[in-house]
Amino acid sequence: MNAVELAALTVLAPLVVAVFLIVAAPVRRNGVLAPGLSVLGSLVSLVGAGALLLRQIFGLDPDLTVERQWLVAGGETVARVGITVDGTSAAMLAVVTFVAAMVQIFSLGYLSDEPEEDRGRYFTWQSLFLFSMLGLVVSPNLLQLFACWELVGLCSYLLIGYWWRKPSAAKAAVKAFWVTKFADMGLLIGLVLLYYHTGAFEWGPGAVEQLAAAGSDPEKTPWVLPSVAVAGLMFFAVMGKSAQFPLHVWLPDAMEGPTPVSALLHAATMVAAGVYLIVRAWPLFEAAPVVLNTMAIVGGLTALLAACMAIIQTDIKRVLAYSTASQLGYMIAALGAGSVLGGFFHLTTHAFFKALLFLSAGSVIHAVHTNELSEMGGLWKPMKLTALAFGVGAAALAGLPLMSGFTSKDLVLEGLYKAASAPQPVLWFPFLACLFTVGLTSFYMSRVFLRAFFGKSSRRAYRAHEGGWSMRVPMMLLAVPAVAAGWPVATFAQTTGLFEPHIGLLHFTPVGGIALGFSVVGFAVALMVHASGGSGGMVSALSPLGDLIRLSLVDRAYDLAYRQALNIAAGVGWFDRYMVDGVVNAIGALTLLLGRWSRHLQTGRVGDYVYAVVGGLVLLAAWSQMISWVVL
Amino acid sequence: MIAGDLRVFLTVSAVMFCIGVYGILSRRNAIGVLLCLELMANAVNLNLVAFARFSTGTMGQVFTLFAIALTVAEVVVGMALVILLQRTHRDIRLDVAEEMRG
Amino acid sequence: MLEAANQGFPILSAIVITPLLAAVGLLFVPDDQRSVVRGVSLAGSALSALASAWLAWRYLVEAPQGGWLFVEHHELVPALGISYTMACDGWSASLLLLTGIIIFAGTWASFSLEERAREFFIFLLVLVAGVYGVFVAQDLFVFFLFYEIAVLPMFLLIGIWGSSGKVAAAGPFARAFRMLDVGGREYAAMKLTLMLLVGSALILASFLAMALTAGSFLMDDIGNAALPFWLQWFAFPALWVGFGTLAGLWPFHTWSPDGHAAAPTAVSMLHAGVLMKLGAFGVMRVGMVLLPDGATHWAFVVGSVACVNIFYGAMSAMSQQDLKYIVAYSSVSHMGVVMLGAATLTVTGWNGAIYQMFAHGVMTGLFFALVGVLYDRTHDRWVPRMGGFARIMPMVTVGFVVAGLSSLGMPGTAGFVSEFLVFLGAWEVRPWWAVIGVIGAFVTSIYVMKAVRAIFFGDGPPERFASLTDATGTERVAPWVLGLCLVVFGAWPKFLLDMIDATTPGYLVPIFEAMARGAQ
Repeated sequence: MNAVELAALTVLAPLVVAVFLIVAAPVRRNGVLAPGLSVLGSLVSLVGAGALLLRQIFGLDPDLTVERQWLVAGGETVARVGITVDGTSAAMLAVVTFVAAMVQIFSLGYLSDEPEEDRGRYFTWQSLFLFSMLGLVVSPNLLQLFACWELVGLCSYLLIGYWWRKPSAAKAAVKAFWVTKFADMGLLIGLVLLYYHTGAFEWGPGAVEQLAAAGSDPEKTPWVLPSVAVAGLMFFAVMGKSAQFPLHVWLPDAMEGPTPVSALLHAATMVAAGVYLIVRAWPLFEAAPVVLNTMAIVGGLTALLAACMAIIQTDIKRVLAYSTASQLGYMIAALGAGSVLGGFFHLTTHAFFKALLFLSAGSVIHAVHTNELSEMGGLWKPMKLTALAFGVGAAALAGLPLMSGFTSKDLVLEGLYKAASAPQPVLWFPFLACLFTVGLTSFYMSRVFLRAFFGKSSRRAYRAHEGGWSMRVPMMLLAVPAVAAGWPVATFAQTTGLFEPHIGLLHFTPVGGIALGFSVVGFAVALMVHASGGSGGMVSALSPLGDLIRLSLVDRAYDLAYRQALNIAAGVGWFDRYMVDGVVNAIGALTLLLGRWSRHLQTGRVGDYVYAVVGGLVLLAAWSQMISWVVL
Repeated sequence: MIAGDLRVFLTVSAVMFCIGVYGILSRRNAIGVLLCLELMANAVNLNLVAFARFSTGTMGQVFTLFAIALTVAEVVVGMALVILLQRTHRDIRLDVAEEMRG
Repeated sequence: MLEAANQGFPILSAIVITPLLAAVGLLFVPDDQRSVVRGVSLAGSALSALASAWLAWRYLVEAPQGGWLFVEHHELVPALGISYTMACDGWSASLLLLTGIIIFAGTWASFSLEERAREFFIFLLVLVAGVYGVFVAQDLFVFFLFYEIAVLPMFLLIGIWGSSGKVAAAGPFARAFRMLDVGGREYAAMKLTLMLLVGSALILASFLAMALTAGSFLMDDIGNAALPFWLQWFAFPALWVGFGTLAGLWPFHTWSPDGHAAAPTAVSMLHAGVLMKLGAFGVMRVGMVLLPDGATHWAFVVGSVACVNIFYGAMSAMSQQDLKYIVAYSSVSHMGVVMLGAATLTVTGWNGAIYQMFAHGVMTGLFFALVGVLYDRTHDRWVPRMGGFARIMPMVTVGFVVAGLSSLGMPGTAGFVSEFLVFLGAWEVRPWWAVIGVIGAFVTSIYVMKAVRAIFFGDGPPERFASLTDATGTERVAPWVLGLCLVVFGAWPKFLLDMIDATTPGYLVPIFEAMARGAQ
């Protein structure tokens, strides 16, 4: 098989499974077959993606793109679909399929108590989700990427709303859908704009040149440069998808879905799509420095604010959710600073350790049946493996040396520092924000870890126990890259074509050293707080800040906007019913009234009618005489 | 000369027509109205025949034949109506029937 | 076009006549033999649907470069230039296919009808024959004849088999609302027929003006006649408003919510699914192609009103609590997309407009089929009284979500292809048209998902609905057929788009010439 066939197999295997499960209802309702097929599909994908990645690493395959015509106009191709295989897509494919396979295997155990039919539905959507994300990764152009982007959003909606019987889950699902759809308007308009200027949906240097030429065309002087408009609009969509402030509101609510869904959503698929879009369409972004600076600032702000939010959460999944938003802020900031390698590599490592964190959190929740940190505690004894897994994930997230998160975060911070001292003074803010956030991250992760697994055992902890093999194995397997994914950074950079000469085997810079300092301080503070009897005081001290960020400003603003939109809609509806249609009805009623009045002319007496006829005749004759007089 | 002859026919026809109109307007008896109606129709027939006689072609005469046949049918319908009127209202004066008043 | 006339089997006439034959056949079936009634109507609709599918396939094979196929030509009134001329191009072929799909699904969806089923199917089949005829008639006289055949049976179908609602009297015209039984089925039928007939009068007047000036009723002749600008200047808006009324053109759309809400399931499917397309097709095929100067002159107005349609329709849909009204207003919004695509006068925009006719036809057909299933069971259309229906009606839920996704332009469904093409075309002409279109799609996502959540998810179902069942037996056919079409034509649009695209550039030639004339 050549690379494209292999990639096609990788992408299409989950689709075949999904379509089969959708169509074949009896199989879907089978509690063994449906999950089995779904896992099989993702394993096939995993193998395919692994082979592709290896071949890319060893340079066996040239970069390949195969495309077919999809939309036409006047015989000319408007849009194509296809598959592109290069280092970037191969690396991402491997990450996505690995995380997805682990999540699906974990789900086997996690959802074993669910009704068979619901489980079938769950695995169908999982397969569709995987296909959408893989299709996005191998997209050769922006239109296909957008199509898969929307499908990813749809599958998130379906999976977040898995427990649709719960009104809160239904609400969270639709919220995620609306917020990301709102942001996607940007990408849609950006695509249309891109097509208008370049006649295609490409992201290569050719498109950049055409955009630049369109910007310097004296005949059509746009009020904003086309390159900036395209990049800015696309970034708006990324903000929604990758949960950047202030479009992050859907992410915490998305915790209503089952925990493995959160793992998939937060690690390798939904939120990763946004960052991946920037990596893929990098030439378009690079051509718009204004957008890049905005990205860096938005990223830094999100990193900081989301970390603050994570501190005051009492729900283990919501802590992880906000930490995802925070880490996505890192990636966006790095990309904004021009460090594609930093952003992309952090995306990769983050996928592993965040999936690991969510799965181990899922294991905890499965054992104690609650999300509340205050009802956990002392879980180390009954759940040593889970505790270890969570510890590894937390260490990677906090950026302990030798852990994957350390290397990637180091790259991010280094990129930011370099760009800021380039000098782009405006980038000092994201740099400092990200640096400080390292400490916050370390603090809140340590706090959660200590709180859940150590300290006083809660009542629920006594009955807690590890899940089955299907839950333990994925955790163990995910722990490996969570630790080690940072080591082959040079190989990663070479494969994805982002190599910079100073990247050695193990990356370490002075900036990283300072970050490590922050990290240690964060850990120490967490330890102190834990030793002094819990973090309740801390939470209450910080919660006004959280209220400010979460409720007062953002959520309330959205609520208000939604209500206002409904009010306006009600106004339009009233206007249509009683004004526009009112005129129609008024005309109808007027006709009726006219008829009612004119019926009095009908006396019913034959004589009257004859008089009318004769009178009419006389009038006619008189009229014709008058005409002839006038004419003559 | 010919034109003069035509004028005679037309005058007679006009007089017949006016008598018919006067009759319809003044009579209350349905049969009387019907008779006047016939008078008007025959005035028109007379016109047609006269025009046909004083011009080329026989179209007018043909039409008159048709018209006479139609008038017969019309009288039948009219008489039927009169009988119906008599049955329902016990009277054939037209002003008793005003069911059609709006 | 006429050179190759009358060769081979007159397939187009056959497609038109098949439903008529079935209708005539139904006259001889005793009313109480319901299975025979169903069989005959199904045979009629299925045969014509199959024939139209075959036609589409033949068109793709035989005319990949566009042009006319299956031309039939017989003189009717040579003195006036009236002839019975039928021909099929890419647009007709795709819209015939749509009609076939919808009537096939609609027949299945009306099998649950109990009362006077025979008469219902007779009217339905006559109506469909008219629809088929309009799409292939090449002579304005015959075109108008079929158009009226398609529009008029609606009065009886809604007036006899419809359902009534209630609308409170309010606003400055409250007195008028009290005088009329607003919301009743007779009211809806009367309003729909009268408004469409006013449109017909405008159409007829313009047709006569065009045909008498050109000396022929044949569309080709009229197109070649280069009608004077003053004629085009007033004939185009007349056609736009006349046909537009049927296409839900704002502000002449108000027959549509009441009519669709009152109509029985299959009638709503057919009316929103196909008949509204007759209007848009008329605007494009007759108005724009035959009156290119008028079209270029009025394009800005047409496009701007289309934007009003999109946004206003979507907002109105958002404000509704009655399920059928939500779907009906969404039709108003989506027909705005068609008109927007038409107003762009670009290849992409026109391809998108025709594709949107297809996509929206299937989508709204699916919506109404499912609403019909729901209404059959609940006898209630009030959304706030529903909830949690996914528990008892999984199939309806899935179908509804698929239709909703297509309506909000989700990639992978037919709605995305058409809306995206329209936006591409609109941006070339006036970017803000495209922006309003995109915002309209977002508002669609709000009201569709809001409705999905309120009806199917969350707590529930309420006790009085708890024992209801999912779609069963014959009711499942329509959702399956239509849902599959949405996904297939969304994932692989090439089949349909190639057919449409073969025809569009040819129709745009006179438009481009008119633009060049206008620019001088």
